[in-house]
Amino acid sequence: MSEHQPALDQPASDSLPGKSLKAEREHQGLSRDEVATQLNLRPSLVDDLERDHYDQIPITAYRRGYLRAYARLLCMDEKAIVSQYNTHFGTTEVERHVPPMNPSVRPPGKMGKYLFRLVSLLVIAGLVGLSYVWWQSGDYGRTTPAEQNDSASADDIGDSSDPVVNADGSIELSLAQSASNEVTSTALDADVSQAPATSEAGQGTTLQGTTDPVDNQGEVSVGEAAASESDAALTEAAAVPAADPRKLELTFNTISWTDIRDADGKKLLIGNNPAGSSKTLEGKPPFKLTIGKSAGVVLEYMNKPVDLKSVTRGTVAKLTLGE
Amino acid sequence: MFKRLRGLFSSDLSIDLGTANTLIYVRGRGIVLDEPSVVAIRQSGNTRSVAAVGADAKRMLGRTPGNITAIRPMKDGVIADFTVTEQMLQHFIRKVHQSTFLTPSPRVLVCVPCMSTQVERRAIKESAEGAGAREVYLIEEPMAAAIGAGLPVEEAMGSMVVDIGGGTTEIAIISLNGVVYSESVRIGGDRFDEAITSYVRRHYGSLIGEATAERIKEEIGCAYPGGELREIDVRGRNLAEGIPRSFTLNSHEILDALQEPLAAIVSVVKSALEQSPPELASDIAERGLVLTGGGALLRDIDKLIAEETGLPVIIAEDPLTCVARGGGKALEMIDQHTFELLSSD
Repeated sequence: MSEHQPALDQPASDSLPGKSLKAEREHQGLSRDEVATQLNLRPSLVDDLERDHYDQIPITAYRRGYLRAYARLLCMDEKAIVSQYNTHFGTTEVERHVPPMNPSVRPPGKMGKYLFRLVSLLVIAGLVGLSYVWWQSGDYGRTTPAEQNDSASADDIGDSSDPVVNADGSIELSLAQSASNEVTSTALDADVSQAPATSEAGQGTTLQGTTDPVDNQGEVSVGEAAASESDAALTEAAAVPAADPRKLELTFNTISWTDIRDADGKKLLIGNNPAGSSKTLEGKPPFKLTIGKSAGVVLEYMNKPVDLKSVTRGTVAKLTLGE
Repeated sequence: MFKRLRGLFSSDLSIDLGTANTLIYVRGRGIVLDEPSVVAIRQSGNTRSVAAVGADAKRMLGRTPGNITAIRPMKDGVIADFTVTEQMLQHFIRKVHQSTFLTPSPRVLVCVPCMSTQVERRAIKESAEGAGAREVYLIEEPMAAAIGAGLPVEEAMGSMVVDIGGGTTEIAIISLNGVVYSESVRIGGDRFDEAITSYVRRHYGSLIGEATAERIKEEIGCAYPGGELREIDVRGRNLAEGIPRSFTLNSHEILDALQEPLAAIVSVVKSALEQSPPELASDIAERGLVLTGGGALLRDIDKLIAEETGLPVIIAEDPLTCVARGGGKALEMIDQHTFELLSSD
C-alpha cells in the first residue's frame, strides 16, 4: 500500500485525469490489456481514457463512470480523478440534439412565469383597491345628504333670508323671528307652495327668511318680510295646519325604516321610506315610534319639530309621543 | 383555471418513497430531505398519535417502551400501512413546503417499483394526495434512477440500470423514454441485513437488532472476495446464556452471509440480459450497466456484477439520491412535453 503513495500524490487538479491514471497503472506494473479485461472495456477505450480522448464516449455519465471505475481499480481517489475531469471538461452534460416529442406547445419561460405572477398580483391588488373605493364612495353617497341636511338646518337657523336649495322633494319654510331667534319651520307640500325663489334642484327649495312671528293657531300665515332687502318675495301665503294631537308629520331626507303605531296598536307606517318623501299620519295618541337612520328624518308633532337625537341609540330612535 | 393560476405559485416535489429512506427533491433547490422511512406511533388508550418521524423515529427502532411502536410503513417498496405512510408523507411534505395562500399545495411525483400492482400504485397515489399534494404523478423507479444517473433515456440507445434499494432491486432496460424490459425482485438492503442477522445467530448464537446489522453491512460489508480484510466489534444477546456478549466479525464472514441475496440479484440481472432485444443488448455490452440505489454502495458489488456478466459496470454518482433527482428532472420534462411515460393510474 505504501508504494501507492507517490502516485496518489501526483493527481493535481490541473493535470489531466487520463495522464494520472496512466502514470498510476504503469507504476503498478499493469498492462492496458489487463486493465481492459478487469473493467470489461475494449483496450482501445482504455487507451482513449488515458489519452483524454472522449470521442468514443459521447455520454458524460459513462465517461465519469469509467474514470471512477478505473480509479477504483488502481486504488486511487476517484473523487480527485472526477474533479480533474470536471476542471478540464466541465460538469455539464454535453448538449445532444434530441428532437422533442411534442414541440407544439411550450410553457411560458421562467421570466414569463414571474411576470405572470407579478401581473396577477397587481390585478388582484387593483381589484381589491377598486372595490374598497367603491364601497367607500357608496357609503359616502348614502350618508352625505342627511349630514348635509343636518348641518345645513343647524347652521341656517337664525340666518338671514338667503334662500337655500335643498335636495329633498319637500319645501321647507323656516320662519325665524329675528329678535328672539325662535324658529318655526313649516313644511309645505310642493304642490301647494309657489316658491318664487330660483330653484336649482328643480324639485324643492328651502326658503328661510327673517319674518314676523307666525301665528301657530291660524290656518294660513303670511310671512311678512321684516324690512329686509334680501327677502326675495317670501310674503307668499303658506298654509299651516292646525296643531292636531292626532297628526304626525315625517320628512325623510334619507331612506329610513320606520315602525309607527298608535295607542290602539294600529300600524300607521311600517317599512322602508325612500329619501325625499314625506308622510302625514293620523291616529290615536300616544304614538310609539321606531325610526331607523333618525339623523336623516325630520319629525314634527303638534307643528313642532321633535328632537330625535336625544332618543337615538346608534342610528335608531325609539320614542313615544303624545302621552 | 384558478387551480392552474395557483399552480404557478407552488413548487414541484419529487419523492423517492423508499423502504429504507425517503428523499424529497425540490425543483431549483435540490435534495431537501433525506430521512429514514420510520414512524414512531404512541398508543394512549384507543388513540394513536405520531410520536416521531424520520431520523428521530429510527433511533427508537427496537428501543421502544410498550406504548410506543416504531414502524416502517413501507415494505418491499410498497405501502404496508396506509395511514402511517400518509402521516409520514404529510410530515415530510410540511417540512419542506409550507402551504400558504401564495404557495399552495405542490405537484408531487412519487416513484413506484416497476412491478408494483395497480392496487399498490393507487395506495401510494392516494396517500400522497391525502398528505396534501395538489396533483400526483407516478414514475417507475428504474426510469427515475436512469434519468438521475444522467443516462441518455430519450435516445434510441439501450441503457440498463440496476437500482438496488432498501426493499427491492429494480432492473430495467430503457430506450426512447420507455421501459423495454423491467424486472423487480423483493431483495434489497433489508434482505442483506436479515442475512447478516441470521448468519450471526447461526454462527455466534447471538441475536443482533436491525440497526446493528445495518451498521455491520455499511462498515465491513462486501460483495466480492479479494479485498482488504476489515473487522468490527459487535454486541448481541447470546441465546444460550441470555446475556449480552461481544464478538468480532470480519468482512469475509459478511461476504459469506450475503451470498444468497447477492446471487439472487446477479441471476435477475442475467435474466434481464437474456430477455433484452439483441440491438439493445449490443448497446449495453458496449457501454455497460449502471448501478444506483443504496445497495450500489456495498463494497465491490460492481466487481461482482462485472465478473458475473462480463459487462462494464458503473456506479452512478451519488447513487442514493439518483431516483429523487431523476424524478425532479422528469417533472421538468413533463412541462417541456418531452416526457410522456408517467403512469398516473
